[in-house]
Amino acid sequence: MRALRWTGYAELPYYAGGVAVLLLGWTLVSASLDNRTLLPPPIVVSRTLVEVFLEGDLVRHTVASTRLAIVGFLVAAVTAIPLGVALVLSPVVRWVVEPFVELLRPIPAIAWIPISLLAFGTGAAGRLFIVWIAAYIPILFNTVRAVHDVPPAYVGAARTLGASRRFVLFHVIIPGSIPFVVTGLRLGFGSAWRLVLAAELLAAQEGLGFMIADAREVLRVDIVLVGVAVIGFVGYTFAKLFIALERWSLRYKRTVAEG
Amino acid sequence: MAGSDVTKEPRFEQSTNALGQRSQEDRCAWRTDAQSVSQPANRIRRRVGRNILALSRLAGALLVLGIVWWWVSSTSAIAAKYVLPPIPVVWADFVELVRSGVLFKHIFWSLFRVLGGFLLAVVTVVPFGLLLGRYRRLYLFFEPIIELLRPVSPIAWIPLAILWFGIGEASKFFLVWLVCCFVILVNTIAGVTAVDRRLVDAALTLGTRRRKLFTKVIFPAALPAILTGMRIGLGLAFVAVVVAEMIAARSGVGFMMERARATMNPSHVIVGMIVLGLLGYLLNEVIGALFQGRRFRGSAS
Repeated sequence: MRALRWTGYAELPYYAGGVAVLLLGWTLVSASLDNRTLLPPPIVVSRTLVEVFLEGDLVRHTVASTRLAIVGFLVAAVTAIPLGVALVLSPVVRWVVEPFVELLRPIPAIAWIPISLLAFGTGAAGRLFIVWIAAYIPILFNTVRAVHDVPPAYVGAARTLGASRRFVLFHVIIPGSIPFVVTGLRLGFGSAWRLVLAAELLAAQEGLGFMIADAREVLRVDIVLVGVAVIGFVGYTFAKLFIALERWSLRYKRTVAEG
Repeated sequence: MAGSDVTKEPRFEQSTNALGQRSQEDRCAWRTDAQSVSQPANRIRRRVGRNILALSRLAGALLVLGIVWWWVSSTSAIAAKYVLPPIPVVWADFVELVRSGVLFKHIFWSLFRVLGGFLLAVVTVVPFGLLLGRYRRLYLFFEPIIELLRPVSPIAWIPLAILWFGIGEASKFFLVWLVCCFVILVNTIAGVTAVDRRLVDAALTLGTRRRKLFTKVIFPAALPAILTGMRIGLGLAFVAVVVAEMIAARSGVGFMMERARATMNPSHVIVGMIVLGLLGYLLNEVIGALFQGRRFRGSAS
């Protein structure tokens, strides 16, 4: 999980060489094709990028996809985290809810796409439902694991010192489980982002998935490539944000080590 | 400490413990450890009892879901027609799909695409990853290419795969290969760079040839990380293939579901959902069984 970053100028020639080979190979392959439309050279694609951006289509579709992913993700976080905490802490909730979770969990989120299109139509509601399901499972399971992995000694110590259950929940268990929950949020957003695209590819009138599906049908490979690049960029940016959040949530460990 | 013996439990007992966690009753933060410390015979009896209990709870949940289903399909005619047909109707369609062999044909094609592309990726990418992990300059050269292409969501490759390789098998193999490729590559590299330097130095000092260094030292040491990459890759490939089948194919479970949706035939969609759930579950179990024992030796992702 190493990202591109400047650790010194000694690596620069290698990076430059790699990028140069990529661009050169791309240009050569596209020049050698009989049908140039299948892989336009890098210059054409970069020109298309500027064009689509200036027309405003790119921004509009990117905003639509990102908004859908964020809304679905937030709804999933708000509904999954409390259930995850309750599943570990409350025997009653575990007794009742766990079998349902076990039964529905193996069904992958994509399997819900056709049925949600039947139930909700091709509007935004159906896509929101799919994104919610996609983000729900990773968040739920990481929350369960997070709460479960809070050392019993911490709870025992707090209880021995006279803390109420309520105090233990809010001052021991929840703070102690935040790092893993954040990991769950990162995985949940990744899953949500994948499913946003899948749903838009299949049935939508807006979003990056729709943009590349539409471009495919009219054989505009340059637009597809631009869309793919933007999809990668957005996914990457959010992953980085969540990784920064994870690091931030673990900062107390660093202070303890230093102090 | 009760948690220490829990990890030694055979897997089939863990799997009955819902949520896939190590036995939760034993390590629940709210309970004291005294409850789970008991005589071995006592513990076995309790485990058997727990399995039966877990199964009956699953059966109970199934029953409740069935009742809700029956209630929805019998109270709303629209829901019954377009989303949730009565259970006997779905059952009859399911039996018909099985009897005609159509269902197995679709399952076969989906699995064939996933496993074929996956094996192709393992064979091509693991040796490359071993080289990149061992030779830093080679890695630096390829790093920008990998890091630029890796973040792209697997789903986003589908239109390109179809454009370049058509709607036949080639595009599915390419897609699965591509999706598995980056995960396996990155994990292999991480595994190789994490190999204890002393192992490599010792082997070199004792006069190991370069090829043997890879096959006897680096590859075994990096194997846990490689397996982790393979497991993640297989899961992603499964999803990508089903979506690709929904978009452009003439066979496969995804194709079956999408065609059923387009022709307003919800019972085939529901059969497809259950099949995908079972396939995902079985794939997970098989991989879990294959990778058992390697999991706790450490992994990198």
